[in-house]
Amino acid sequence: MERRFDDTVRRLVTQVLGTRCSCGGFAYGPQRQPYVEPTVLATLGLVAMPDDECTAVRPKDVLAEACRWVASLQQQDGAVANGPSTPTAVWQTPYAALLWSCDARWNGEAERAIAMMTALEGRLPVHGYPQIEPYIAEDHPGWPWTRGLPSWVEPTSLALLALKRRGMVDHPRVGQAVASLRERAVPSGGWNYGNARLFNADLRPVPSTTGLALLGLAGLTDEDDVVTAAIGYLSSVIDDARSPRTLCWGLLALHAWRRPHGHQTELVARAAETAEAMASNDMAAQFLLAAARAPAILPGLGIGTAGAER
Amino acid sequence: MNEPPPTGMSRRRLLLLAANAVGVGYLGWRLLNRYCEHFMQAPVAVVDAHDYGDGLVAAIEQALSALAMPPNVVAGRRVVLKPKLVEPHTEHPHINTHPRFVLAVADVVRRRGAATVTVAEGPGHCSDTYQVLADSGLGELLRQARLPFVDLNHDDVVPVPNRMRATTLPELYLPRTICEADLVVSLPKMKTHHWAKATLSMKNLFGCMPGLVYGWPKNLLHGVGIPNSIIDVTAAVAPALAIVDGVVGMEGDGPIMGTPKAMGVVVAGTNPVAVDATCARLMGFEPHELAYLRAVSGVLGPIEERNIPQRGETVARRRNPFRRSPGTGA
Repeated sequence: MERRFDDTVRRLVTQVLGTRCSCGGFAYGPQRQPYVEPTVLATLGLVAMPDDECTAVRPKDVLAEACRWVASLQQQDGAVANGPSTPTAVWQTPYAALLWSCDARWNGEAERAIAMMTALEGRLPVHGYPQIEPYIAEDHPGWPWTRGLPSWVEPTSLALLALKRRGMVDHPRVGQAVASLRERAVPSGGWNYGNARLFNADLRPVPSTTGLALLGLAGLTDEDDVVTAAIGYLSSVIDDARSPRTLCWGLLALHAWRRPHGHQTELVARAAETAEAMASNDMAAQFLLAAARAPAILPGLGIGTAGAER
Repeated sequence: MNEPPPTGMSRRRLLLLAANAVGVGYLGWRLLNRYCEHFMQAPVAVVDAHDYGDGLVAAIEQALSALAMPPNVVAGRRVVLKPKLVEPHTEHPHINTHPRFVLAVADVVRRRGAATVTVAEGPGHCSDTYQVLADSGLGELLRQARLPFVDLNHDDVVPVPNRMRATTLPELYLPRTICEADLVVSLPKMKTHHWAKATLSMKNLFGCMPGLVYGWPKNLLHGVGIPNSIIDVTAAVAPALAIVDGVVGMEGDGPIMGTPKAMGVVVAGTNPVAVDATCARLMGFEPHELAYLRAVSGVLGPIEERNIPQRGETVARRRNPFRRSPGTGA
């Protein structure tokens, strides 16, 4: 099994490198435009490889070029555009901060990104936004997908990863975001996308969101009822997960909470086969390589590093 | 010193005149739309289909034949099928367009000579498109049928001018797959919706808007107003065909927490406004109740019954009111 899994990882590395663009960024799929999210996950995955298992490229070179390319997307206020053609979309800024944190030479860029993030709050707009939805108040603001709109679980969790990676566990925004995630946990365990309830009905948990939220909370809070219920939910569904994104966040979250899945390699190998069978499966290789490199990749995501534990 | 004599109209008078001009302008715009609506005849077919079995292909083919579309609408074209996939919940299949419905439509357009057929979707709630694909069962069926799939949430994007400007957005970002398609077919589920009242072939097009730019649940579009966004997105994507999965719909707390509603119909047409107006009537709504339909009447298509030649079943015979979503006038 081990040798077979090594083959799987080697194929994943080849596939990841197949999405690398000449600019140093990575795309969601081969021969496509580069974006920050695939660039950062690909780079973190490659950097977490043992030197003798990544012979096709030097991970240090990949990191240097990726940092440079992502820096070209940074805007005046520190926000980072998701890609060259999407200047108004900046929700991938936390990924950029994670990447730059791998190399002290990019501290300035990372600090500017963090400054923009700590100033950005999810909020309920007074006009335009549907007012009948019983959104919970933003007493504990997290982070939105787009400026000026409410917080959601995924961008809030990504921001927490970046802030932890920068050692900012005591920043007031971290405490607020942790409270925000707690409020939004669904009663049965885990997270939906935003609210826990809608029109008096409990919403259903979703595995990928739950995995990412658990990663965001890791190191910031002790295991309590909310966390235990979420781990329980995630553990009950992870065996059926076929999607690379769900599997990545789920397996990493279980590692982060010291419940490593006993069949991680089988799950990753199975998902890799499924992804190969589907001609287009965006970012599959990046996510699966990251999952395959658990727990080595966790420090790159701000988990288990010095200063990232409360 | 004497005050200078008034040389023009007073400020109050000016404001009054401006208000009148706006009022007359709006009235004129509405009248013009009603006038234009009269010239926007668009047929819609309603065909019985009581389950997702083998008869579905024939039902869809019957609906398209009833529309008497010229062969070149499909033949030789690069066709993109856009189903509704929202969330990954295996035990709630009525959230999404049924996988067999998607396959049946693919079968029909292939038989009609489509050059290529691609299934594409950018789920509205879940950023993990492939989990939705797997849990809905569509992924496996597409693999078996050798139908390619594109995740519109993470496709390369192309900025296009927002020609309707119902919202304040100056431009819209569309996935390259949508921009390069010759024919986009909207394949929505017939569902109630707690904000839009009903989600049909126009609202389904939110799934064409990349999460990469708009976030989830296409949050930026919510921020600038859902009805107006529906209008802008419909005009930008311009689907030339809509085929609604009304075999089993969703009523009550839609679009995700509602209950199945057996309707037993396929609704099809070449104008999404006319299709949605017909579906609204079948569901027990007056089209004018839906803000986005009211606004595009006579602009993007007709919503008056007299301007929608009915093919197949009549609306009166197949009307079966849906329980409405909370907050929308149940």
